[in-house]
Amino acid sequence: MSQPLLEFDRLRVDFDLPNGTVTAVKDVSFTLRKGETLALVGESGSGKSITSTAVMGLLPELARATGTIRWHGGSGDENLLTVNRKRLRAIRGNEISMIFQEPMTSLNPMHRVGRQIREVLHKHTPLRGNNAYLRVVELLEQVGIPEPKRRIDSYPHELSGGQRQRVMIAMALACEPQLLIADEPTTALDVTVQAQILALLKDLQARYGMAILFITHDLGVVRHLADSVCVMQHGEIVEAGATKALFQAPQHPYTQMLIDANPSGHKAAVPDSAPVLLTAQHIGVRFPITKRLFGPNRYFEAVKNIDLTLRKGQTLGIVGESGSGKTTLGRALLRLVKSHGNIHFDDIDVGQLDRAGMRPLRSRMQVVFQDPFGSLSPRMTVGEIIGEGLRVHQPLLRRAERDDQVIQALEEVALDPAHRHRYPHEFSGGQRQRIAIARALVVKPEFLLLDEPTSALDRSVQMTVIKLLRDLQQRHGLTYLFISHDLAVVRALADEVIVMRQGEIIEQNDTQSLFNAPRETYTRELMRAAFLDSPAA
Amino acid sequence: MIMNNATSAPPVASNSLGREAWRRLRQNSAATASLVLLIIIALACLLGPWLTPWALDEVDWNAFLAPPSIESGHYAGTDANGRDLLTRVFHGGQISLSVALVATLVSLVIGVLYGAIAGYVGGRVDNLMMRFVDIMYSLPFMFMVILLMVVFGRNILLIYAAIGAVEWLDMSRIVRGQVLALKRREFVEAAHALGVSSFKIVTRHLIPNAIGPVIIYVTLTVPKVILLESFLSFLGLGVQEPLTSWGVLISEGKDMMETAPWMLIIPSAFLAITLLCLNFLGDGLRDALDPKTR
Repeated sequence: MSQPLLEFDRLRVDFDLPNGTVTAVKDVSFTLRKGETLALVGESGSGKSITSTAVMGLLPELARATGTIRWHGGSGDENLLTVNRKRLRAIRGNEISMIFQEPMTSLNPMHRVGRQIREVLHKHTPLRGNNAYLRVVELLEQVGIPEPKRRIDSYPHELSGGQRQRVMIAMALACEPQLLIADEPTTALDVTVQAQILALLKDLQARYGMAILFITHDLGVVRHLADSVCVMQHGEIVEAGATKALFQAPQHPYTQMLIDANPSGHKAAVPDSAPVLLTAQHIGVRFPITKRLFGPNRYFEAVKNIDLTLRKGQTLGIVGESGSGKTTLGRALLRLVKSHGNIHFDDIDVGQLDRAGMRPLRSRMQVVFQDPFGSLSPRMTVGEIIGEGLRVHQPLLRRAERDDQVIQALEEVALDPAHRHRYPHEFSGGQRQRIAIARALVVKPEFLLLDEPTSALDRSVQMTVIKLLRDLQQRHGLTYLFISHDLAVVRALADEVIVMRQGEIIEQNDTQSLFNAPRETYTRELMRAAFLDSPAA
Repeated sequence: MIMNNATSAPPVASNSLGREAWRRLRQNSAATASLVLLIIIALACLLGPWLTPWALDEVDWNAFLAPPSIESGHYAGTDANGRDLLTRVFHGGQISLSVALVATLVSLVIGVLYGAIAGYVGGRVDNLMMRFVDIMYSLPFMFMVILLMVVFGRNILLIYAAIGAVEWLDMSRIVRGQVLALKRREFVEAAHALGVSSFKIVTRHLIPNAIGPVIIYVTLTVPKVILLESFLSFLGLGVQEPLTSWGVLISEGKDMMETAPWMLIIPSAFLAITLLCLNFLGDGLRDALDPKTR
């Protein structure tokens, strides 16, 4: 076994808040060895990110850290919690570097990427001028950016999300650090891009012999990358061990729950005799790219000529990566964006209706959005949010009657009705998503568009929301259009799946056949990247 | 932690945002004190002229440029014409505060609605509405005021109208910017999907969420308006003798700074305290209207 590089000993982080002390990290101890990859796994609020920022001395001001973090990378032992600022600055970026979740925001949009990498070199190495330039090109080449000599002069917005993350990695590698801290580096990326980035990290680790501290909520990623795993819950490490052993025989119930948290179950297909609820023919959506006073406008075709049919009680899953047009298609079906083509809902030609004409139909078709933080107005109480649909569709309802229906809807989604006078920020992500579902349900819809309803949630919370959606479908005979990039969730919920890419349907089949025998290479690629080829132990 | 708050605290009675906000405002001691002080100043300006023994344009032949004293009854001294300063400050306060109030209200109502509609509807309508704002901006303010004077004759109401007509432009731009960002949020789309009418979306969803910057801007508008009025009066386009306003009193006091400092200090103190209170109150209101601050 190689030498230890970073040793945590009873790290504890407290936050002194006006209404008491909150302990974010409790007695965390583990050792990371040279060249090893250790994954800190946990759901939001488990303290995994706080633990990693303590290494870099980047804790928030209110935080108080005790214990020790021993760093053996420099010239002898140091406690990273007590070293002076000057030494800390020398360590940061040079001996330890970090990559973050959001490649969109962690690069400065005003500077060319080459300059941002050079800045690191200037700070920590004697490389200047042409030597620095050559090193930057070399780094960009190593992280797999095509045409590095040209890309060195690109601005961040000219690069794709995956390329930006590669640039971040190049910056982190600029000084050949001994430890790379990766805080959810692939969470914001598409699955196929995620697979590429993970492969890149593995490759670079082998080349540079650096250790990686990998922070993630996604156990699927961990299994393919890490040598050992620490599972965190409520600020404590509940289980630690070698990756293989931990996955084969998880000891702690929380670990078991996380490993089992891949959604299971299937939905039986509806019989062909089930009445058709929604048909769409030749649906196309295009957005103008340029607006010109004279001459033709140029358009971007987000959705191209799509046909689909939904039967009563069916769940149709639409999968695809970002930019595939799946969300736009869903919005077009609800007439939230302009489209061309024919849409019939229960034999009513909705393609021809204007806003006022759509209004009576709105109570029959509802939508739940991805972001439970953005989809609820922060200045309305939960009761007002849920009751709004009733104000529109049953304007004659008296106040008390409306309140009754709001209470019913909250009970339906298993929330305490007494909380209807609170504001959305007082609820957790999963609770907010339940509120959003209650808002859709209260008008008694037949058709529900679910646009990535579980993507912003922790796995364990996802499970409960999926279960809720299943129950509701059975109880009310709802028809779902389920849009997601998460193949595991789609497999569990949908009875028919459409795979979309660049605005077109590239494969469509019933769920079983599609997942067991995908026809298209792209579908297979998606499934491989999502690690679905290795079912959970 | 957030979850605990939502599940363990006892249920509260139904509260409208307004009542909730009022409760939170009262918890903020700086804002409450400011509100009380503002009310006192406003009442003093309204009732004060009857309480002082002097009339607005009454000349005390025994006291020119007399310093403040209790025996003479000129508690704040007199000006170069022997008129009681305190009486004039109260009178001036009536004009200044009412100009501030009216102009701010006008800018608030027109600006917020105009900006919200332009931002929400977007496209060609937005373009036309905002180009109109640009044209209004490009008209020289003084030219507009002089034009109004020529057409309608000299009238204090014209000052209100002229200032109000200019101040709403900034407000509409601020609100439009806010609404442009807000209307892409999913809660607006959810309201749309529920069939909520455009008017309700603007008034229930967009404007309440744009209120923070609006309040900040209002607290900035009030001092601006008071100073603008004194500028107009200084040029002879605003209030005329013997009527007065805080701005006029301060500009008169400025000339007598060395011989009669009270003529500068006393009206300035009234103006400064009022503006300070407005700022505290504005901050308090912004926090009180945001349910995230408890």
